[in-house]
Amino acid sequence: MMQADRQPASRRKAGMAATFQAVGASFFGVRGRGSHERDLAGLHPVRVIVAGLLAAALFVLVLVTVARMAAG
Amino acid sequence: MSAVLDHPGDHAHGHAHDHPSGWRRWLYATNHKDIGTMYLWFSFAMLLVGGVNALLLRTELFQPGLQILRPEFFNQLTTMHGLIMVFGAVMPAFVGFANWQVPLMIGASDMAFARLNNFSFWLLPVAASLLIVSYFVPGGATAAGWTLYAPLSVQMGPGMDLAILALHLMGASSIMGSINIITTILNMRAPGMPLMKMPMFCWTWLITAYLLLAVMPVLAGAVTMVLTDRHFGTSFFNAAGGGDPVMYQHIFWFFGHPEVYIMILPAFGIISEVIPTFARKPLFGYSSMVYATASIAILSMIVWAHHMFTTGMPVTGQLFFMYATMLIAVPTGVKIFNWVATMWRGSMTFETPMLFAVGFIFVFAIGGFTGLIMAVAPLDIQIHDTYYIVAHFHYVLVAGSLFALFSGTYYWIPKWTGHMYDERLGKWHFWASMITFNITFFPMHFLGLAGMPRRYADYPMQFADFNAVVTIGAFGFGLSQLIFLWMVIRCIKGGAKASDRVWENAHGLEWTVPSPAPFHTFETPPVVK
Repeated sequence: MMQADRQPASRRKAGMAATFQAVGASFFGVRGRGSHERDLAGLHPVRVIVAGLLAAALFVLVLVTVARMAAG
Repeated sequence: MSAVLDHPGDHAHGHAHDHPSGWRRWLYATNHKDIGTMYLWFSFAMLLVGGVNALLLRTELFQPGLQILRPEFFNQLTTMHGLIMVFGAVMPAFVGFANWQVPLMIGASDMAFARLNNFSFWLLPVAASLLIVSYFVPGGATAAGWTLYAPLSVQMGPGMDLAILALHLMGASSIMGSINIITTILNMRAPGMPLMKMPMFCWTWLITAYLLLAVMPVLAGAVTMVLTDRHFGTSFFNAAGGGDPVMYQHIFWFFGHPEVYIMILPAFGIISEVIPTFARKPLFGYSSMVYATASIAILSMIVWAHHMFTTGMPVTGQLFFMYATMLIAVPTGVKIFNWVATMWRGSMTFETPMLFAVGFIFVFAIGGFTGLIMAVAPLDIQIHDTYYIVAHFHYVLVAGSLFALFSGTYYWIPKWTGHMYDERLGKWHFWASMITFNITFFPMHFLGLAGMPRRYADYPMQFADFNAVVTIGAFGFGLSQLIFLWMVIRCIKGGAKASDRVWENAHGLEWTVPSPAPFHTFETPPVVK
């Protein structure tokens, strides 16, 4: 249900840390109800998409690094 | 959007005199329910065609030696079985479910682009005809395997061209269908239904539609390059001309792996609707389910080369794709956990939809675990292109996607037809399918581990016993599906009247409209509280 107090997307001001936290949760696949409600109220959709792309690139880089280390 | 939503005249009362009848109703169909019905019948017809292909293969493989099929024709059947089942049966079936259910579940009057919807559907019978006609052209149908690897696909006869054109049409159909589903879900939800209150089936389809948009053009590109290599003097995949056949595999699997999730995410959505109803509890961890679906979709884009460990790649590359693949087990595990947690201490009953849903979890988990084994590069090199792989993907696609489709059909068919299905037939169908499925596909693990390669018309004597068992199971499984057909026909013709809600703990907007769902629903959007 649409919460009456929810801000329009353009006015949501959650910081980078909160955005990356939510994106990280989506990579893992688990998110608590409270954090999820905070995400809904505060996250800006464009920032979430940018953070998602950055996190995906970072994820690939980390995996490549781990693979290189394991291959010696 | 308003041009679609505003219907001229008074439609407030459900009636049927405002739409064409006879063949015009179907050829010119713009109603999401009619188009959904056509998608479902089309996909079932394709399931039977693909199934007959499979039974011919299994008949040949009943005993070692060549009995009834020429090896060339065997290869054609293998290829066409895969293409027909993936692009003709499973994918259109899920689009059929989306057509019927998404507008009903979000309180929309129809799909966003009704005529585009009609076009999306009618491309499919044309594509299927091209595929089937290709058996009768010189050289027969394509025999390159459903993956259409170069250089085989560059060398085949005209049947290959027909297959390429069919894939183009089916890809265009999928892309248009995805645009329709995304627009419908994002723009036409009932007032009071934000995305995060949307039914899980709609969420899984929204994410699937984005995956389709991302990868269907890649497949189109791959097969177009094959087409130009064949006829226009290019050498994309021809080593003699400076091309690289392994590049085809990379491009194909960049489509092919997300395709696997395209065929399973909507199945997850159906299971997430059925289990809460019959466990009489809300879905455990709804937001986690959404996040896990997104996670699976993201990861599906970076694991494609695990299909190609044997083509030769640097160890770093093998490790990267191995690690990334194994990580998919995390969000998939979250989903299985959430379904089990939903059932935990629920007041469960086991009507047919629930039987198929629980059966799905059991057999899909087996398919998931064998997938995890194959993710390990050194193991995969041992079992690559063996029957172990055939067993794995049939556990995921038959026991996964198909069982979910059955579960969804039994769940919603009372809403579609207005009649309850015959529960006794449903239970027969479930148990017959479950038992014969495992008789068919479980021994394939042993055959694969013992080294029997896939896509061969013959095999050495040591594989004879398991192959005989597999063929008997396959015929049992094929015949079991006739019970399903009989159930559907009986349910359409009559049966106990279904109530509006149908299931006592069913929640969602689709259960607020009468059974059968009238031709027009939600012309005035419902308000979700």
